[in-house]
Amino acid sequence: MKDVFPALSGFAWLPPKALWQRHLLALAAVAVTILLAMPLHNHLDLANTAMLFLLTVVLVAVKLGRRPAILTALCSVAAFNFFFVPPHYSFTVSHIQYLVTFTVMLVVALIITHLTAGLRKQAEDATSREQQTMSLYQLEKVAQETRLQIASERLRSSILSALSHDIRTPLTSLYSLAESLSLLRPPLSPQAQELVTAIRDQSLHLNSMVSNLLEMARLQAGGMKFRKEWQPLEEVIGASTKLFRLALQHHRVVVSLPADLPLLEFDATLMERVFCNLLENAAKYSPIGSTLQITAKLLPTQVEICVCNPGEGFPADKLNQVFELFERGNSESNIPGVGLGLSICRAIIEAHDGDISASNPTHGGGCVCFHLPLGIPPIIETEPFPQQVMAHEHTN
Amino acid sequence: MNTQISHILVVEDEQHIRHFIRTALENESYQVTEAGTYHSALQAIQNQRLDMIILDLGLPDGDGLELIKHLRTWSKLPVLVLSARVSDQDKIKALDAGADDYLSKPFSTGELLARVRALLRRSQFNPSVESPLIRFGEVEVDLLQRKVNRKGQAVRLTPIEFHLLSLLLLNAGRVMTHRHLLREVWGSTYVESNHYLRVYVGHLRQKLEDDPSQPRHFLTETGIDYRFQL
Repeated sequence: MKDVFPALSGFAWLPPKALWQRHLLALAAVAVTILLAMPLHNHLDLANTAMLFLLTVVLVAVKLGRRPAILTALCSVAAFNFFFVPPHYSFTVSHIQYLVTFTVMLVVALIITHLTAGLRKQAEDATSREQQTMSLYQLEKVAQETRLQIASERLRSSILSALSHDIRTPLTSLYSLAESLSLLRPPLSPQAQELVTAIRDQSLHLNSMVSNLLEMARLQAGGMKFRKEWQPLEEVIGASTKLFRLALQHHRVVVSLPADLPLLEFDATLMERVFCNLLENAAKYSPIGSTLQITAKLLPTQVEICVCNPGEGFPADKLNQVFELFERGNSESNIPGVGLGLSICRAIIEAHDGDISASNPTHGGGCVCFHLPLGIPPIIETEPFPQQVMAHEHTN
Repeated sequence: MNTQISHILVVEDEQHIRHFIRTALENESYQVTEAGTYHSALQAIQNQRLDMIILDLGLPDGDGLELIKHLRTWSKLPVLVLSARVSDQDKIKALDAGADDYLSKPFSTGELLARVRALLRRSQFNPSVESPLIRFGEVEVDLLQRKVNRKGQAVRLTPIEFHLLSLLLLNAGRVMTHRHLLREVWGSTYVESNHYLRVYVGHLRQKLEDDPSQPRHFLTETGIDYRFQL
């Protein structure tokens, strides 16, 4: 559909031209026709010479447009009269019948001009419509892809949430059954109670592993929505130690944060997962009754947060690998775990534009430290103390 | 204190969990009615005199959220939601629909009974007979005189800090969503300004907790709410 006159596509190399240029080209076309017709004139009928001029009009109309074609029609009739109709090289006409020839020639030329120009316009319209359709199609394709992506993300998240529900329900039953045993009258013997407690604790442990697995699936599936908000680090640490109090019951946690630590921007639920995993890890690999340390240090553009334990530390040759999925410091270890916790920490910290690393401090034990960018926290206006409370304190 | 035995409806489709809750509650001398479906729950609500509902959101024949909304059109009966869903949004939706508290599965007997006691106490709470003096840890708060002491020393609180403290104290044991606290203390234009609330709760912890980074009274449920515990 690009060219309605494929036979004339040889003209296609002509670049779009200004109107005056096209008029000039139209005159040139008439001149060429005259030059071509001159030597043939003695062998050709006058009617056939007129045909040559009409052909020129058609070509000009196709390639140069309506107004140059009208000019060509007028000039062709004039040139036909001047050069070819006797008497030659004069506008005078020897016979009245030639007036009919001129008139018919002019009318035919104008009609052809009109029709061709109309056709040309239609072709142009068709091309622009085609382009419009193309761009609409492209737009629709993008929209369709976006819809598909949203639908598949929704599906993925509903599968994950159903999975989470389906796994958690029997786990909750298991936990509840263990709790029910403890409620029996008469109470269980101390040995039986110990077993029940072990069942309960293991089901809790399984629950935390399932949470980690689902969290990892969610993080890796991408398209996860983060709820990053400005908040004090202290709060998420407090929430994590509370959430984890059962697993931490044999350890002491000491938190030391700089007093001037500004608000940081993070997703609280995910950061809670980071602290829970780091604390769980620290507790697992350090002796019962020992103290776990959480510290924070202000750097020029970042804050460095470390969770340290006084255990054996990480295997020296595996300091970088412990963050890999399903990688464990010591694969033969009898300490339960599948090597998910630290890789989730890394995924979450990296999603917060930070980095995370493991180290064994020279004074012993193991540390996991991560960096979070400081950014510019929102301003909170300070509020003055009321007068009477100050006065009250002075009288005390 | 109310001497009548409290009657609790347990709505949960998983039989083991329902049975566990029943045993735990009956050990504490509560009267318990069980419902395994949305419809039997609705019937129990309409036909029995209840003091509280413990509700699992995912029921086989209906959405627990709808039950809460329906109930709230005519009743203030306390509702404790059990949630196996992980998303915070689900808990927030349940609280917004009118639930009073929630418990994430799995939960222990201790956690369950503490929540039940707090909700029942709350619904029988009569402010006129309560003392304006509230004590927790080594802190003593006089709500009338607006005085706060810790270890016998006066503590300086700003008006906003005191307002927030008294709101949390009067709702001890209950969840207080960020939105609710922000609207009550700062006004409705601040309901999205979570960082204000977090900074001020941080102030209260600094001034009133022994270890502000491991609080025992001003507790956080990450991403959802605060809960004050005596």
